[in-house]
Amino acid sequence: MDERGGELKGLSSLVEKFTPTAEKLANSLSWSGEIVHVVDQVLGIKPLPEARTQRIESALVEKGIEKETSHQLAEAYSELDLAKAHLRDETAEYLSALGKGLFRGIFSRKGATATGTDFVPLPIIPVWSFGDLMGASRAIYEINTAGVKQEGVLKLLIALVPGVPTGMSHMALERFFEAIYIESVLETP
Amino acid sequence: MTTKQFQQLLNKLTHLDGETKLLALNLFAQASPEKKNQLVEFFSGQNQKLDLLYQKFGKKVKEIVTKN
Repeated sequence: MDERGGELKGLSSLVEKFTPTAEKLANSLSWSGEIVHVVDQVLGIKPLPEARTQRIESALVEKGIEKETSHQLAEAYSELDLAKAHLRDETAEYLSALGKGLFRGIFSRKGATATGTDFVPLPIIPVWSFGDLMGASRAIYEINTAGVKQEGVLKLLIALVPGVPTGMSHMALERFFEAIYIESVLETP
Repeated sequence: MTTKQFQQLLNKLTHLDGETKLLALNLFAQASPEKKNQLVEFFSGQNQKLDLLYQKFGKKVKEIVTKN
């Protein structure tokens, strides 16, 4: 816990120093946060379960099964999948009620960019990448809306440092904060 | 129930991921006898529900395949 305390202290002082600047940026560029958030929502709304059902159906049709049958089979599988997800939720709730939950779904946020965009440079200012731009915008949105500013400020800072792969750094940060949160939950008697 | 038996129960719960099962196992190992019973009750319940789900699924698939 000493090690973790040291890392935290370092992060905290960094966040403190950068917060005024971050807030100014977040204020003046809040529109970019909004835009990326909407895009994320739209992309996110592309429901994964539906896409999967579609894939199963196509695969069955390819194997020579008649379309209507394939459709019904794919739907049945989808129902099973959904029911299993509900069981998983039940387990997570049970474990968290014992004071020792993982809260993974609730806590993890879609803050990371696709790592691929980290390597595509911006046309006019090639010192930054598209990943940096997305990462910065998401960080701005977080600063403006989330109750916890610390992560947003750190993420914005990372995005602004040229040459640092923003997506991967954001993912690492999220895991770090997740780990701290899990630890604090586990320590709760 | 021994910790080993509890682990075997957990292994049947294929809908859960490794981390969750590990957490449950650790909880069980450290729990009082009373808590142990509660854990067994809960996860046995999960096992039953999972079995029912698969039964329902199997029935539905049979229906679809024989109907069409």
